[in-house]
Amino acid sequence: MWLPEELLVHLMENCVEDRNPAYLVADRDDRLEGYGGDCALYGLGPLKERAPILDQAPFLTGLLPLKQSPLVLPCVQIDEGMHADVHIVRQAGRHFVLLLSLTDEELRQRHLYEEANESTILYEKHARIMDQYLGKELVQALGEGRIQLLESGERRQVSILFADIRGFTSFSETNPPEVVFATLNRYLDAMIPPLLEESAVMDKIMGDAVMGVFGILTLSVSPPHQAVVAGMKILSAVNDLNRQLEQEGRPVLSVGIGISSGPVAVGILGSTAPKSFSVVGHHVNLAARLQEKAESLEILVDENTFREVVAFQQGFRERTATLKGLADEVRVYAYRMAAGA
Amino acid sequence: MREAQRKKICILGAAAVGKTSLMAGYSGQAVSGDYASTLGVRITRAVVPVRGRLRELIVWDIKGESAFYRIPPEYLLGAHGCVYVADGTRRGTLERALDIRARMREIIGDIPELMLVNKLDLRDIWEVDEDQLSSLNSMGLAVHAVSAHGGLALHTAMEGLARAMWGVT
Repeated sequence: MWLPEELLVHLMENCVEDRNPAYLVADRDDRLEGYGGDCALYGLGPLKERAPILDQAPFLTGLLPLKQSPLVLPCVQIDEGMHADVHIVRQAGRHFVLLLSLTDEELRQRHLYEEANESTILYEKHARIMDQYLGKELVQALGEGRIQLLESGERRQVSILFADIRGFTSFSETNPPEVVFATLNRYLDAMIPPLLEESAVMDKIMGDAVMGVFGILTLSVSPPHQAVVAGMKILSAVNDLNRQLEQEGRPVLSVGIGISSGPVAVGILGSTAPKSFSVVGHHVNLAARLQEKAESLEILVDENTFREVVAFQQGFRERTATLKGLADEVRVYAYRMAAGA
Repeated sequence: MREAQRKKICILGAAAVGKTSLMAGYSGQAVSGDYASTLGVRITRAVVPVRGRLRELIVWDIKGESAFYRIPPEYLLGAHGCVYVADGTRRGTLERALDIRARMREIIGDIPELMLVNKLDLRDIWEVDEDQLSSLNSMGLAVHAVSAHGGLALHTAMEGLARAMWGVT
């Protein structure tokens, strides 16, 4: 060995001995030739020399004789024993099995991955619940005759709201995945309930953005009014969330919202379940463009929407904006909520 | 019990499809409603009757794959059988299971296998439809709809796999 003895001793003391080493040796006939360390820690034992090793360490079933040596199996738990990295070495027909417990850092890393993983599953569940909600509401409303939608599509006067988490892409690139998904879920939790409360038909979650369509489920309230109220509720919920995140010492983000109102083509897509609701038209694109233009904690609406929300007009400021895909400047109206308000 | 009476099976699938719960249910252990993810691989034993004789399965319950985790191929070495698990309420998990299967077959070759589609008790909200399952069956992959909360289907499926592993028709 080319390493100086001092380093070998250091390695033994700091990389092996503190990992609760235990070992088994199998002879050429796969009988237990010897063992050492705290084997019981890893769910092994009582052990008996000269008895078949597979009866005493059945986890080696299928592995002996080893076809590739050495073999390292990471993070193995035998029954209820401690997690271990298992190293198996074959030499001159004998097998040496070394078990080393995971370091605290390895365990911490693995738990972090678990958290990220669980957040991903929560995210998927969230999206699924939304889809189910949409399906259930639509089916119910259709069944009761409250609304009628032609599967071939029809034109409707609706309001479309896009809400997007600002700066999320760069945030996701500079933070660990478990932080990214946990944060995303908390913001979506703040953004989705206001939409449902105001009777939006939810479209799918698109990464860090959500889309709601007003004027499909309830016709008693004007869609622009519902959309603007939902937008204000979202800003308020995000403000509350940000205060909470600041107190927890976690990163804080913001949202921007765009709303457009007008005629769109509405229909049901898909020939078998699950069918999906679909909205197509200029005002869908316009709402998305307004959302892109909206600043942090701002709702940007088009003229159609502004005209219909007389009760809120005083809170909006008029300005002009150049929107992607439109040649001319358009008149837009902005509602801003102060951070922490 | 000698090795001839003992064989290794690997349980594979996406994260949180219920692999550990299914195996607990199969072994007659209480199935917890709380989700606790598996770290790495957990190796347990289960007994299965094959033609009236008890055989032992060494069950490698392998942590589910996700965007953040790929199954180490070393876990598969020496496996005599494979169980792929999907969650019927999450269509993507079936696709993930099939993707894992394609990769694993390159490592372990053509060994006895089956596909369990879990959450039979939530059939009303399944995203996986009968046509998909039938097409897998017709491709030669035995597919069973099962639930960790009891039912004969899981035992029947596992016993069928065990028979194939021990070469008993």
